[in-house]
Amino acid sequence: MRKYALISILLIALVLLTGCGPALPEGCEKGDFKVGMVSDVGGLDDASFNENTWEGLQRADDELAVCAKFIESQAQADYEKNITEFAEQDYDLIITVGFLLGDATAKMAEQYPDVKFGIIDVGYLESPNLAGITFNVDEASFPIGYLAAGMAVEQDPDDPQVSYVGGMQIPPVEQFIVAYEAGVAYYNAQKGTDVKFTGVYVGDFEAPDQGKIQGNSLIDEGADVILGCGGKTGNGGLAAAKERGKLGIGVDVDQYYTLPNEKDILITSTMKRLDNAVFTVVESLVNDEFPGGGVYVGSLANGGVGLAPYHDIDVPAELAAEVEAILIAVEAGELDTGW
Amino acid sequence: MTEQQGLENSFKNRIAAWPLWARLTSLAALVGIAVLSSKWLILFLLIALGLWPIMVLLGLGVLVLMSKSRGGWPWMKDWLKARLRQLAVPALSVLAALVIGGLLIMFTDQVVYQTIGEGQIGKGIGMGFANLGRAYVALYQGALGSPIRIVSAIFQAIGGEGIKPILGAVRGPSDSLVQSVPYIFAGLAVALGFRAGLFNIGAEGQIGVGWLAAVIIGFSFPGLPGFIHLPLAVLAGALAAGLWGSLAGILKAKTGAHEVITTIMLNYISFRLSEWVLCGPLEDVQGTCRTKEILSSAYLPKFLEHPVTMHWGFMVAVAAAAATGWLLFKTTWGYEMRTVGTNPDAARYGGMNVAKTYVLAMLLSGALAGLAGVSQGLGITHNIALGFSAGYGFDAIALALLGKSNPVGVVGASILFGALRAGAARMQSLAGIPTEIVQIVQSLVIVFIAAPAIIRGIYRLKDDDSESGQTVFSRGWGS
Amino acid sequence: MTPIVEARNITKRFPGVLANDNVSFSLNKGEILAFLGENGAGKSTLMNILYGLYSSDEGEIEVHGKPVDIQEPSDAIDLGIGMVHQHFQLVPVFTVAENIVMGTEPTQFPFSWLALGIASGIVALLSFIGSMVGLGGVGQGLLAALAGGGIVAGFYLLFFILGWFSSQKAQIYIPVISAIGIAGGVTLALSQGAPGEIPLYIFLALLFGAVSYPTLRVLATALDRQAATRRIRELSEQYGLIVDPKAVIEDIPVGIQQRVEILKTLYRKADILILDEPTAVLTPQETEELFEIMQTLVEQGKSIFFITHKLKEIMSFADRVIVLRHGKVVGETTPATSSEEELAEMMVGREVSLVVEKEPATPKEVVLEVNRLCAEDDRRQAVLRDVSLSVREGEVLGIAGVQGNGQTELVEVLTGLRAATAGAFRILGQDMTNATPRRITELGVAHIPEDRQQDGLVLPSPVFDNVVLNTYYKEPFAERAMLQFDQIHEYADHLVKEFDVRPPNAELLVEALSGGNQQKVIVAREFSRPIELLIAAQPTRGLDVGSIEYIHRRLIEKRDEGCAVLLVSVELDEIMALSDRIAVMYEGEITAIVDADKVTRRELGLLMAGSHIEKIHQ
Repeated sequence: MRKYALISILLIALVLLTGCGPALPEGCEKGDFKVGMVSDVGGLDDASFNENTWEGLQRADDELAVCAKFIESQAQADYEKNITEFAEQDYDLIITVGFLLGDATAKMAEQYPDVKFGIIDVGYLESPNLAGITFNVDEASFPIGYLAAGMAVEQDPDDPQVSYVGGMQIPPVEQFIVAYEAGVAYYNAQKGTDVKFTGVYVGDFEAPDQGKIQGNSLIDEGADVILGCGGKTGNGGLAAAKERGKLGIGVDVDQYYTLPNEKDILITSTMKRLDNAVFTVVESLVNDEFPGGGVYVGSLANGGVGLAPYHDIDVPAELAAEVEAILIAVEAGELDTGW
Repeated sequence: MTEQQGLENSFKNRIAAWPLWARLTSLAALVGIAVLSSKWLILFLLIALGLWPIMVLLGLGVLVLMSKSRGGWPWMKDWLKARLRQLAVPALSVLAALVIGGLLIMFTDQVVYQTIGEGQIGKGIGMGFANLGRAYVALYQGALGSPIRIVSAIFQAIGGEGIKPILGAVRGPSDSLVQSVPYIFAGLAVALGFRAGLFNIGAEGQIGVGWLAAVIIGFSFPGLPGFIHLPLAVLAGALAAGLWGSLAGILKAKTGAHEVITTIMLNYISFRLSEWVLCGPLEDVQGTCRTKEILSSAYLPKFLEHPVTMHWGFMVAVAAAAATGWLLFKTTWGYEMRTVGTNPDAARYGGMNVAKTYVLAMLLSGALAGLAGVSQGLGITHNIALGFSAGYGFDAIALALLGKSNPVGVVGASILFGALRAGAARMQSLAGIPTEIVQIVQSLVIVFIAAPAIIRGIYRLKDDDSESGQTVFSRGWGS
Repeated sequence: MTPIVEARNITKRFPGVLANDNVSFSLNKGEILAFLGENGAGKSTLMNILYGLYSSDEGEIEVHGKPVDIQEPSDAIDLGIGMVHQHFQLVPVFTVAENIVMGTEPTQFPFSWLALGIASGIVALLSFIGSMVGLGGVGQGLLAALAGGGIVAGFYLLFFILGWFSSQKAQIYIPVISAIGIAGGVTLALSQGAPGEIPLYIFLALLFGAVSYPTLRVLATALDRQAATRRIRELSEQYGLIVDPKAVIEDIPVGIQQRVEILKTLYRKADILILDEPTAVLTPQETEELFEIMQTLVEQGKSIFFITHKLKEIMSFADRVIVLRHGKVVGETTPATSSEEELAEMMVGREVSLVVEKEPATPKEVVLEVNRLCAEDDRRQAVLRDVSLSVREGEVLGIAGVQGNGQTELVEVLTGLRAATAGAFRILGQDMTNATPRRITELGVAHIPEDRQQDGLVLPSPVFDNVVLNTYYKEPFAERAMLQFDQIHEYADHLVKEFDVRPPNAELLVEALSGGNQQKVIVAREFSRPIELLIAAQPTRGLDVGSIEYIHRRLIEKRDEGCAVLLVSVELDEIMALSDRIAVMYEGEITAIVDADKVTRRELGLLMAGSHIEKIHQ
């Protein structure tokens, strides 16, 4: 009995301590802008997307008078709850990552008119306190498609083939793929070659093993350059390329730095500079220029999308020059990226 | 004990003596009153959860009053002892899991190590404890709210500011209960399967099917009044998932295919089908991979205004738990399921149709799992989008084990998991502690409950003979 | 001479049961002491206490004249007590040697300077030679040799230390190793200025602590496997326990498995053996062999506790018998000064008739009529060939036969549990071929199944659930699909009383009951509803004399009430005692149907072995 008494006293003490303890130190200084980020189900350490956004917020945390926090969502049903969590704590800006959060963000923007919202990859929502953040990734993918075709011919002049390993077949992914394909087609038209363009959507962003299996079978069919496109699944495709001695192209961030194992086969990466975009949006809030109701569009022109440097792979100077020229043409709107 | 039973029986008998119409009318009246006053009942429930220590004290007070008429302190002592004995292992498991989780929180922070490395050991350990404190305070408040805030909100409300502050203050308990809803349904589904000797790993897929079906019905019939539309959508979800689940039952009954294999495979089929449906035929706006919003007539109504998201799904879940318990332990169907589950040979000998029972059990299990999706779809998201699955169906296996395949146990375990999950978001946003810690705590709780010897060893509890021999939960698994 | 084991006033209570009540006994060196008692008399509990599986509530035990406190089996093993359980504790996929060694893996690494020297010398030599080839200069080679020797010596010492730790219980080993590892890691990290790696070191240390223990044991076992095999050979020769140490358990017959169990105890240096109902699973042949082994063991100075409820065994070789009833010692005697009848009476507590008394049968209408019935077993082999027979009201038809000649399948077909491939049978004039079990049951057929735990009972369920296993859906037990627990409980309490199920508590789980009482639950269920035909398969298998007598009496009662009884048994005595007519089954065929009073044991035995009746009569 004494034992039980002791345990219950301890428990009660614990409860009193937790329940009635002093107000929480939140690690934010007074007067800071409070910015919360709600990730999608991919989690913060996805080596692309969510992680990149958080990097932008951390930069804002360091450089601006901003205090950034995040919540990782575990399910569709969590989105509203997690946004509410920040909104109820009187955050100034809530960044939601990914089009999967579109509904929840729209609903909550209506519920909390005093809080500003930014949503990544969604451009169709309209609300005075909501800014969409989208990217013309096709502007970068098109030249990279061209580059990949050129490299494939370089590797295997007899039967050049460019292949992609995609995540889920959803528009943000399709935007890459369609422009890649157009880039390859453009190369064929220019050079009179027959570079094939193939690939698969695995249907999952979280399946590196599946990505690798699909990558291997694409290589069996003759792929020379693998375009990884879809979170960890795409990374699996790149792993297959590394194993079989083929080339690869990364996505979202400069994957030379996020995939140390596959870095030496990466020609380049199609960068979607979420960090820049997010930082810009936060900065606009701090400067009281929040683009509410509008859309921030990352493009070649404003550095929101772009090509990563060619690190370890030697790209023929001629091809590199052609890509440069295409980049300029795309930025000027002279070439149709197919999207 | 017998006296209490006597009282209950005399009460029962008195009610039973009423004519049927009187019984029905009074039942309807009771339900009506409950529904009409549901808002206030729920608010009270949430406040009670937030202020649970007070409620425990009140409960003890009631117990003291009751003990007066039944033999005073000795009776009360026995009663408390019995309750403590029942709860000792689960409660201590949670405690031990939280302690280990706490160690993880303290010792996975780089800053703490740097401080220790610089020679400031005391400061480093102090920072570790500060981390821990912040994390667990946030976890507690996320799960059960801050008692001080609730009390002050009550005073504000009395002062004439309306219930708005109270709503903000009880968001924690509300979130916990809301989060527990899919857990309860899915846990019941797996538990029912266990009872019938079936290891239903397919709950995750069944959730998706039920969710989808309910949402389709939910947006399909404009103009239908709510009291028809909502039940229709709920039933459609349950039925679709039930039929989906019964496929595994039929396969087992007809061909002997093991349900573990078939349900896993059906999971994949349902995942891929729903992806296709969501990004294809049922996609509402191009590029969103989600269905239309359901009509408001099919909403599972919320009890209170935002930010309290508590909806009728919780009531349905509790009712489903009661119904499952009743079915399993009070009806001939349940008797058949339990017999088939423990000894199919004896069931055949007893003249039961084993094949039929398997199909029925999978149907019901699937339907319960489907209700988990239904409650999410009609209660929270109001549509279904890519990424709907959150592993409820897999966590449910753990919940069924935790609850010893007993509906009451499953509800308890689900509320615990719901609370941990609700607190996790707060812990992450306030203290920056990853939600994974909560998953670790959940897993540890299961480990400790599955191996009570550890807990008994740590806390030097006396062995309880009734516990031994309960490790076998499902004959169907692996046999 | 002081007894080797002496127990005084052992008392053990289970919830609601007094399993052992003030039991005292002693065992002398070189003696076979038999414990005789009905199922549930407390024999096994007593032995489990001695072996440390249970702890007694009261009483004291002395071994070799010293008072001991046996908390768990390892204590008992240390005292030289070994136990062979009724259900073997062997891993089917392991070899005999592995099973014997398991759990006794040498935990202490044998340390000797000689081994250390030899081992390090060899490696030093190898290193030296290697260095001569690879490197120039004798000096470098010598250094390499020294380094090599040092490494080996270091490993050897490490194993020794690990072995010492693991010879302490694992509980100490892992924390100690981990603590050392953590301390070392933290020191290393702090001195190297890499505090960020501390968690990694802690993790590694914990991992090492947790993994090294089993690794060490496996390693040590592998090292010791040869020695173990040798020792097993020696033991088996010494005691005449012939086994092949390399055979895999699942491939060897039950009798040999039992020898492995005995060897296991001997390997653990037991000189006091407890054999818990060792003959229950053995064929007569194997039983004989076991007795010879026991004789050898005793001759070589071992002492044996032997638990049984079979009287014949006791008479043939026990030195002394202690009879238990309801947890109490009711008598102690020697076979020489006692008789089977006397022992049976002591055991049951009343006079037991070993002969079934019955009036001549008065058969009436035909109840069961089987006509050229055929069936296949699970492997699709024909097991019933044109079986025809009939059973009439008020008679017992016994089916005699060696196990596995189709009796099991016949009963299954007649109760609807197995499909007939040809032929037909009628019960009360209705064709019931391939009807569902429920239809057959509802017609008034009772079935006492051959394997009561597998088919007849739901072991983890309470008695009250089991007594309505085939009537649960009928009134008064269910109304509109709702179980009426008041009625079920009332009914169960009534049956428990009427059929004397002990302990008399319908809330108990069936698995908590002894075999005889489990059978009583089945009998109670089947006999308490209106029945016209009773199919009883091996109704007394594994039961003690008291229960056998009881069930026989009930069977005859049913017959006299006008029930038709089909009795299947492999016990010739039982068939002879109960049947009015006897059908002999051999290889799926009925080879003869004879009147019970016109046939001798010998003739039946020949028939069961496949002879034809005409031949016998010639």
